[in-house]
Amino acid sequence: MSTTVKVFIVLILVMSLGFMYTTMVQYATRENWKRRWNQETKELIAEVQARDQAIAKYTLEATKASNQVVNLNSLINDLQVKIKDQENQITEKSQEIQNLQLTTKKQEDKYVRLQEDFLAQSKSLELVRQRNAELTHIAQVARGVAFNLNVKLAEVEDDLNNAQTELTKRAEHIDALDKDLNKNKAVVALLRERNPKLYTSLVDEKASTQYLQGVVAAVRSNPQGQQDLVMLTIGKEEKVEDGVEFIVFRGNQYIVKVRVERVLNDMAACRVVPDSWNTNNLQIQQGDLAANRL
Amino acid sequence: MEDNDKIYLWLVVISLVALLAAIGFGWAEILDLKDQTIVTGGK
Repeated sequence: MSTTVKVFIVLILVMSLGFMYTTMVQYATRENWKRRWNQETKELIAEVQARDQAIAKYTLEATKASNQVVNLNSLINDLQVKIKDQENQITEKSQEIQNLQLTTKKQEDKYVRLQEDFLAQSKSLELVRQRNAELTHIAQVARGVAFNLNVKLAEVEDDLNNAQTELTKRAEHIDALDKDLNKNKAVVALLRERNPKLYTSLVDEKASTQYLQGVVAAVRSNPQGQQDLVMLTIGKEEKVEDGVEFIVFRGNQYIVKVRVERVLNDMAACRVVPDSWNTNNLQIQQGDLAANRL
Repeated sequence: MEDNDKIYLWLVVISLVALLAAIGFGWAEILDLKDQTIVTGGK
């Protein structure tokens, strides 16, 4: 075999190996590119789909947001209107508050005045209570006194009944005395007709017993405390005699009868006639008058 | 034939095999280009 053939054989071998290497590398590179193409395309499709979904979602949200913006704008408008109303109401309320503050000040002044009045009334009430307590005490005392007075009234009524009974008896006695007086007048009339001289001597005061009047100079009581002896300012000079009875009186009130027991020149000692006391419990006093006839 | 010539004979055989392999890869690539299984994006 010639050298040229050998060189061609080697050259062909090298070229064949080179061509094989080239086609193998190209095939491998292409397969690799295809695999990467498919993978990246799938990823891209997924990304695009995700992007589309995201865009749709964002679009929906944007629509919702725009609707919400519209709603919020309307709400803002309503709220602004409400804010204006609230501001107007606040202004009115502030005016009302000012009015109420003025009213409150007036009420406070009135309260202070009422409190002062209340304190004054409390003091007055306390005084009234004290006065009421005193009056209650007085009323209790008065009730006791009234009870005693009722008892006394009952006694007085009893006395009055007794006095009326006595008065009835006295009236009967006076009627009897009137009858006797009429009889005596008839007798005196007969005496006047039959013996005028004797009648004149009886009627004339100067010719009859003298009218005597004196003043009580002293009074003395017996050991039992009852008035017993009386000294009169008339005596023998006025022709007072023993046994003459004097009526002691004060003004037009009868007190008692006294009887002369001893006569001095200008004094007369008299003893009280025990059953002749007045019914008004009047006692003899210095200066009372005494006369033998009224 | 000499032993030295046999080596060249084997070199020719190897060259043929390599050429056949290259032709096969080239043919496979051509078939692959015709195939439409390549994923294409888009809608």
